[in-house]
Amino acid sequence: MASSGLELLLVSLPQLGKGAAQTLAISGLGILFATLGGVLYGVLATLGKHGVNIVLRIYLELFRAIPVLVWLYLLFFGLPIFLGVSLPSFWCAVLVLALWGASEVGEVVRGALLSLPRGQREAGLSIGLSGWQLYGYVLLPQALKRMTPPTINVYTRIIKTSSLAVLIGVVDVIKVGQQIIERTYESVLIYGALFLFFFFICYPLSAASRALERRWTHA
Amino acid sequence: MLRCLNGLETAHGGSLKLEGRELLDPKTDWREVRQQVGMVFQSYHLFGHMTVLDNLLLGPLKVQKRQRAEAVAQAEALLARVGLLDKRDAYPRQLSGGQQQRIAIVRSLCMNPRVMLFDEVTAALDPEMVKEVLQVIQGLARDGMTLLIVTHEMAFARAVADRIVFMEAGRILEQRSPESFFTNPQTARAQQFLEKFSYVESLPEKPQKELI
Repeated sequence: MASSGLELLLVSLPQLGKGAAQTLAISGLGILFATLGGVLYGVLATLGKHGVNIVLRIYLELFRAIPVLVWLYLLFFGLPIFLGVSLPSFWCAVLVLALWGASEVGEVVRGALLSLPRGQREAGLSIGLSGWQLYGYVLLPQALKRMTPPTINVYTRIIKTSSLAVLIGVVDVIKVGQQIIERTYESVLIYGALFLFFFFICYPLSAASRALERRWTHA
Repeated sequence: MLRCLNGLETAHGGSLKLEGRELLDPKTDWREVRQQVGMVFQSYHLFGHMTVLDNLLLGPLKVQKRQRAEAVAQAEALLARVGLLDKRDAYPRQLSGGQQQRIAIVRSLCMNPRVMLFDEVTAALDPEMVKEVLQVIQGLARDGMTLLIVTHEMAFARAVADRIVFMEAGRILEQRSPESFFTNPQTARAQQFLEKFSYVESLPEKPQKELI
């Protein structure tokens, strides 16, 4: 048994590190796929195709109306029952975070694209650009400034929400912390360490988002 | 109407032919047509995140897949022609409206179009900058380029056009030579329209008394 708090932290560091790696892996993959999916969502939502818009709307409302935790349970416990497919809890968490994040990022991308003057689209088309070229060279680069700060905010929410993965059995940094507390009863110390962990991951992100917003609104 | 000519809007009816080919055919490849039909807009619509040169090269390099050196040479020659070669590395927001509009014309020209469409290109400009844009258009007309110009610059239309088309609410009311249109309009609507311009021209120098 560790004698002092600091010693306990040092001893637990390798264990906490493993949990932190899990948390960062789930968040990182979730953010990656949420970004890709979100850009796809934003582009699809601005094509002006009625059928596509209905599908996207349903997808968006499903993830707005149903809590992430329910989605985690639904996929983790529901998929084996209804489809006979079972996902490991790690990938289940990544999938839910990616789908939820994509709906959030997607709305940001859609808003940024719609805020561009309509003439940009027409000018691009009038020199013969294809749809892909129009989005790739003209629309998305100009939307990037407007969508980056709010997208970073979505990222911090994804990182924080990743802690729900505990509930489907992922041993992330919080689960490791709880295990240590069960052995040592040092709850203040461990939760304090977790606080610092999340703070030092998320604060730089939101600071960056604010700095970018300030710089770009003045440019 | 101009927007139908390059497929930005779908025509409700009629026939549209470019060099003998029917364009209202649903099989029309508008991307290919648009390379031959350049368009210049009222509010320029340059791509704000690119330099002038990149604006000009986007179409030639990405759509027409031309050699960079050759496209750059053409873009620079055209820039020099409109007097803006020194702005090739500037961004659109650093330029005046008249400069941006001249760049927009060059952007269309870089595609080597057969026809150019001008959609009220001077309507958003300061009176001082109208001239520099009209001079460029006039130069194109002299070189024999086919131009379709929608404009409220009556004097310019009269001086440059070979044919005046007078439209209201999407329909052609009159179509004839500039001289006969301006001196002797046939439809009542055109007469009424031209009267408004002569009204302004025939105003007395100063109002006789203030209206309260």
